[in-house]
Amino acid sequence: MSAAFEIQLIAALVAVACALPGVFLVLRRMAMVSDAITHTVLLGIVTGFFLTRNLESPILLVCASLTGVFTVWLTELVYKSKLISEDASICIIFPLLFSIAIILITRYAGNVHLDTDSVLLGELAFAPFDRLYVMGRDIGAKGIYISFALVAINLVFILLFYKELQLATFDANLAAALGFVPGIIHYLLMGLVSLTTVGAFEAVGSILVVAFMIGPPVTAYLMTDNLKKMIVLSAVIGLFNAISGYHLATWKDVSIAGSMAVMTGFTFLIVFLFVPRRGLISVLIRRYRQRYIFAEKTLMFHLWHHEGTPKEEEEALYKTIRLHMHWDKKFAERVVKKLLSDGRVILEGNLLKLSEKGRQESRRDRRELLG
Amino acid sequence: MNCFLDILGNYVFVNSRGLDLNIGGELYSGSLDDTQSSSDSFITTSLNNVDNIGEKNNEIKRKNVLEIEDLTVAYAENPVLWDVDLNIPEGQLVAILGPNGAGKTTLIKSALGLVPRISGRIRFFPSDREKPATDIAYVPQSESVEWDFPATVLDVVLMGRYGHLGWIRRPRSEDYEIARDMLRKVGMMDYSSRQIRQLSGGQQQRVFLARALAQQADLYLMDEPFKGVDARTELAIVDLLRNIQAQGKTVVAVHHDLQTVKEYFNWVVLLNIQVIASGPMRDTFNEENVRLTYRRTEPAKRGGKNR
Amino acid sequence: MKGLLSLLGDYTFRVVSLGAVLMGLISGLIGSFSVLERRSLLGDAVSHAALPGVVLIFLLTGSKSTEALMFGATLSGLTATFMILGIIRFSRIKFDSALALIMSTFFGFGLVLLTYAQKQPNAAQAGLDRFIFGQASAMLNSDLYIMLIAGSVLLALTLMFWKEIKLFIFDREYAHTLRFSPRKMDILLSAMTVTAIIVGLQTVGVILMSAMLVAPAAAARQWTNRLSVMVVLSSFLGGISGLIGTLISSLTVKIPTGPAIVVVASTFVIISMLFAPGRGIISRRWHRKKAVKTYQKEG
Repeated sequence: MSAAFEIQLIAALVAVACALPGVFLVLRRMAMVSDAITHTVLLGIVTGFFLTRNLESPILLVCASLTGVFTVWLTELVYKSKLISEDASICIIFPLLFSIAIILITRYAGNVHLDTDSVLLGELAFAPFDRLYVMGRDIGAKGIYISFALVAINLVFILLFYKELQLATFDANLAAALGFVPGIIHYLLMGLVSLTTVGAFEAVGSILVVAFMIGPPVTAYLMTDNLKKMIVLSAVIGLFNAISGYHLATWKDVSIAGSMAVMTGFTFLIVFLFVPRRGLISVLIRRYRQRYIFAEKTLMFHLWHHEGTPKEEEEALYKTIRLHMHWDKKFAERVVKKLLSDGRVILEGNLLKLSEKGRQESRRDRRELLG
Repeated sequence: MNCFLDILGNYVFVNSRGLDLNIGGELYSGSLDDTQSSSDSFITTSLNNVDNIGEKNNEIKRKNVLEIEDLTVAYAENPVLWDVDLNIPEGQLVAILGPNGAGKTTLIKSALGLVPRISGRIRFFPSDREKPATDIAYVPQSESVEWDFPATVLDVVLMGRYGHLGWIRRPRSEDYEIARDMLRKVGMMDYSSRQIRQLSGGQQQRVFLARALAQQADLYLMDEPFKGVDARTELAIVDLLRNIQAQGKTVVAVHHDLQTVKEYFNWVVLLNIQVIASGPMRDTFNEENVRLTYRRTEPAKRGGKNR
Repeated sequence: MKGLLSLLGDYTFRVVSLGAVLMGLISGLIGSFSVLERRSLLGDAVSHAALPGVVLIFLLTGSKSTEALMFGATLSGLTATFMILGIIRFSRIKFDSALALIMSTFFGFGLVLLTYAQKQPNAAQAGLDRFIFGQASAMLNSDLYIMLIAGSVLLALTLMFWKEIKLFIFDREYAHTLRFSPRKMDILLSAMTVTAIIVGLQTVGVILMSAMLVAPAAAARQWTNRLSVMVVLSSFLGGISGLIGTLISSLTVKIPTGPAIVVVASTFVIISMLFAPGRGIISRRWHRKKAVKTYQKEG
């Protein structure tokens, strides 16, 4: 396997592994928790290192994951006191734990290679140098196996607890009433997020972990209402971001992690603008159209309302209608012109009147609205 | 074509208050001929020239404080108010009554310019303004407030003076005087240095009333002033409303309780997306009208009431 | 004591500690509003989002002066803020997701630009990353003047729009009915927050900046129910954290300044949560106990 291929494989696997729990973070409005966890796992790694004096030990992974869960628990403890709001609690707890980690590192582990830069920024380019040997044989980069394991664990967790996750995400109260303990699912999920973070950021750095966890699910969230589809889409989008980001990076010879994050933003932007129904452009077009359709209906309704009443002379007067509706000139022109041209409204002398077609439409609208 | 319309335009004379209407006689025949040939350019210019109308009617005696014409408001795809025409006369205690999702809150909010409207015109008197100014006071539903904010009761009431002060200027000692007066009026002076969250629901409501009173407005728009309030406070608030009325001012309140409405208010607006009826309580609040108002209530279908 | 005295005579220490104190004062002041507005997390996003602006300005102008870099940082911080607000306005995406997305994307873009800058032959880009991790010891006298000016402007704005800020955060809708435009207020408050963050960045760095914005304010909130007292106290606690933090890191071996300041500020939060009269946890427990006792006595 070439180094380039190995890097892409690792990135792709990490992207998928992050996207899976990320879906639930986004849906549960806990996106910023991923930001907090990516920073505080550093404290877990430091603690683990002090316990084992070995940077390779799997104990580090366990400690780091536990710290992630600990972060969430501590944050909840603070805001459940009702003295400090939830967002402020996150902003206090994670920098505190991170600061403690930095102080511990600089003070007691200065001679060990525990580079904070690479934790934060990640260096995927070096991943292929870290080989895994079985019985003296090189069986590939270690990162491949770690990230593959992460995908597998996340996948198994989601498949096993799909129903519970779904319930706990959309209706925690109902879940509790049905006998599922949302708290357990919640902490299991947080543990998984922590584990994924730890496993992933060695390869890609903590900032990119946030991009991978939140970016694809947010993008998928704009494309579908179906949870299963959202999970699959997130994984696919994550995969795409990783691969395209890698090529962007090699093309311009810049940071791989950074390029992948940029691609994450880019795919989001494209989807945000162009996706049918929920994209910005279709929302704006719809709003624009709706404005006219409502205006037409409103005008017709207005005419119908005053039809045959003594005030009709005043209310339906062609040239003052815009004053009554309080519309600006151009808008009023377009609305009236449209109604006249498709014969829903006719001009009788100076008065706008509903045609039979228009009257029927108004009647139907009213029935729909008021029964 | 154009010069002809320019001449015509100035004769168009419409009274937005709906009391009388003058239209230049020649106008009728003139436009008739022309619209046959090119209707769109006709609209352009004629709509152009009506801007200055409606201002020449000062001789007409003004009785209304709030006039709403042809108001339509929609959230997303659902109309919440449709072609609402409504006049609120001066010096009344007005209840807005209707089922959930009838657009009561929206009516108040759109009058205040808090929600965008699709069509319609809203005017306040006597200032004859289209946007609420300091002479309109708003008592929101209590949920809209940031409860943990470090503000004392007196601070909150003082906010009622901010509209008079405008940007940057500080409250003066008169403003503090007025705020304290209003606190006394609602019987909350003893609590003036409490934090707002430490009060009971009824007490909070009184504070927000005091804040509105401090605006010394002519028109008070209240969104469910009796919500979450104990019976004693409810009576105190009613007293207060009567007090406001006695000074010739007007109160418009969203109300829920069909039992008490007759007793508390003397004017009623029955609303369900449209105005079903509006007028003096005695003539308007009858079984037929109430039935018409409440005949269909499926608020979930319309959604988005309290945005 | 001797160490302390010689420290006070030390030029670097004077600059660094003054810088840290100024940073604490400013972020304490503005942070009060972020916390009350429930926009604390925005501080985290803005500080990360500042990176591409910093590098871009350097790439475009070749200048590494603090003014130029801060200008770039402010621009990209504001852009990020308005993008976040735009995303939540025009789609169903929630605030937290929009924050995390924009923040990581901007930061990633900053990294891309940074690695690009590092390839430039003259190697003049060294030191750009002090904006990421903060490097209090690299602070210069001129940086102090910039902080002083920025701080004075922010203070002046706060005093000028005191009434409006108070009204707006407490009751947005009511403020609107009194004709204080919510859009103008949003722009004012966002601009003030972004400025405060950018000014603080080079002292504590991207990751810890949000804590400086939030911790002093959250601590101050516990002690008072008056906005004015809270803002003054928050600013004071921020400044003191800056001072104690730099002292600790100068007097002991190998404790970095930024994390030391954050730990001090967080300690204030913990103390306040526990001991503040009235609101504090201990005081509440005590009152509850007393209430139970009187209740039992009365039977």
